[in-house]
Amino acid sequence: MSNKISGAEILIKALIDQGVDTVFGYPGGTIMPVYDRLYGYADKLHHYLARHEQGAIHAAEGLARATGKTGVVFATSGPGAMNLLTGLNDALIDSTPVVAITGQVATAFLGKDAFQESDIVSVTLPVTKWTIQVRKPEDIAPAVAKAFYIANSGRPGPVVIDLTKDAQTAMSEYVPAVCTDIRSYQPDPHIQDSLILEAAELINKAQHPLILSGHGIAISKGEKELLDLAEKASIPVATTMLGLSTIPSDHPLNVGMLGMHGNLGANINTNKADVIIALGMRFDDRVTGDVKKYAPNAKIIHVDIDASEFDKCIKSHVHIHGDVKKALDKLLPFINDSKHEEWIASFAKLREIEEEKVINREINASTADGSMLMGEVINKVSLALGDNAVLVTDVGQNQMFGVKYFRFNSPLSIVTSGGLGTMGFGLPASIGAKIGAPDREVVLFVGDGGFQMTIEELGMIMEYNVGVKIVLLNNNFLGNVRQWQHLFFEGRFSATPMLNPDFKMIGAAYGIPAVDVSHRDQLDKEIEKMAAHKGAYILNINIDPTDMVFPMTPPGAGVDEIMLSEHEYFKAEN
Amino acid sequence: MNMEEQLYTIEVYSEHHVGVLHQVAMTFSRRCVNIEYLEAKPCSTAGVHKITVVFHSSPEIMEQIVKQLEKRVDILRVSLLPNQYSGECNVSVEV
Repeated sequence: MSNKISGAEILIKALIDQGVDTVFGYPGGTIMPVYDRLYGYADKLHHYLARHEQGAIHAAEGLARATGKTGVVFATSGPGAMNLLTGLNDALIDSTPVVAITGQVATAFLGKDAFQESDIVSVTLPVTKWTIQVRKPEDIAPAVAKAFYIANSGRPGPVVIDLTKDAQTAMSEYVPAVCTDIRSYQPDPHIQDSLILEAAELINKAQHPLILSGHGIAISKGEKELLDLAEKASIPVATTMLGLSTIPSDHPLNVGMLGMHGNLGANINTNKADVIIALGMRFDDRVTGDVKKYAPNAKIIHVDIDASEFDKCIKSHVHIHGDVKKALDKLLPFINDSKHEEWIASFAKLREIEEEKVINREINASTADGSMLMGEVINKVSLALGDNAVLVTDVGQNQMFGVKYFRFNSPLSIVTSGGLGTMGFGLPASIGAKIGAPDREVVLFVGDGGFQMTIEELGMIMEYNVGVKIVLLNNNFLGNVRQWQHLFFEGRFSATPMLNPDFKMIGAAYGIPAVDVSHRDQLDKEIEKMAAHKGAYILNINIDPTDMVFPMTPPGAGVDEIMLSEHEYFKAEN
Repeated sequence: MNMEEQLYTIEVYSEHHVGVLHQVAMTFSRRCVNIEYLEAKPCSTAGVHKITVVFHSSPEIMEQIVKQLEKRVDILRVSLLPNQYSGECNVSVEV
């Protein structure tokens, strides 16, 4: 008796053998054989039908970011696969492990402009870690094994398997495949001891050391080692946006977020540091501001698994190429106990200034018409939802306020589109995060612009009862662009005001409780109701459109040239 | 070619898969570097192709292109040939 099954069924079995139990996707002509076989495996491989392929891939990303597992997405050929491109680019730049299976026309039709044929391999090569087209069923299992190995090793990233229709329908035996080694790929470089010693010497001699903790710490699960280093040598820790939950918000050595809208101390003291220890971060331009003015006094130790990041944006002095947790394990025995009390106190002084001039004004707001400020809302929601909540944001002011006013206490607590800044990421990503981490509270902060970019994914919330708490920070504007237009374009609000629909009705149409919060007096009570409700909830918050995110490093400025408000630049006292 | 730019020759050793040449070419186009000369041919190791690329760029861009090529999963290693210019070869590659 033949053991042969269709390529479509081989794919399903190979995915299950990789430990996949969740797939987001959208069927279509060239992936129908896969969906047909999936039908019989519904108990082992749960498929969530998105309402747009972009929603599917952002949901897969959200699951990956909240759990560390590889997100999986199915799409059909042509327009279906093309709708994945933004999500693939997003996953690439934010190092998110995703495997996308795209249907493709049968081999005989390739290159003939067939119905729903797109050259997905060519189009995805710049936005993936790896892409393969599979045309024979016996090649499917090895391709899946290789794809998962690549997606979630080294610097994680997206992989595409473009599966022709004839590969799906042809028959072959399923031979389980494993991939643990690829001769052209070294995901775990050997860390040189001499460089570790060089770094330790610099750190031990430093008077004003500063750690910059990035996404790499979260990916390598190095949160404990990060704290061990910081506490042993008394080194303040600043984080990138994606590194925010690598250290608890209230840890005494946490000096806040870096970058354009980062905290005052983290940015000002970057330019006073004499040794900077950059852990799993890439000196993105949002973090550095003008590179010519960045960290002029510091020797920089750069630890990263991706060697192409060394000297790409900022020249550094010691390059430690490898997994950041392993590098810290090697480094710690050579680090001396140290104290830097005055240096640490300088951060506290800057924090006081920021609290007085920015934070307190934002969270203790008062407006004539009762419209609310984003910081005050996020602060209250964060307190109400507790320490283990996952923060998901969209992109823009909602994101900047969200990441600055939310409290982080556990790893893997932040899901946001950093490098690509994809509006519309938030809603589907929050759905993926909640499906991946059902025991955690997942809260989404999103603006009225970004919400409408992928609003169709409310359909997934409705269909699968996904209990995401959605806080819609509604200012009837594209807020971040409005802020720049106000500050730098003399208030010419070109294409930023938006007439919005009745979001409460939209929520009701999807069977999701939705409440309009138009005045500050209602806020506490409505947040409490949302927190107590079991299941999805939407709060449509009336936000003051003149609310702006500060501190801000204006474009072209150095990290210590900071606006505390529209009219005030930070001035050092001496 | 502006004053900072020099002529470089690199050899890219890659798996002989459809699309790898495209990955090499796009690494250059993304950095706005035009390829002067490119040759691809098999080498003696089974399944490995050698792609030789000649181009003008500044030393910084050249180093970044080499690293970004080496990062690609299907590229085995990249060697800089020093015989196109006089000066140091600062790029170290792992075999």
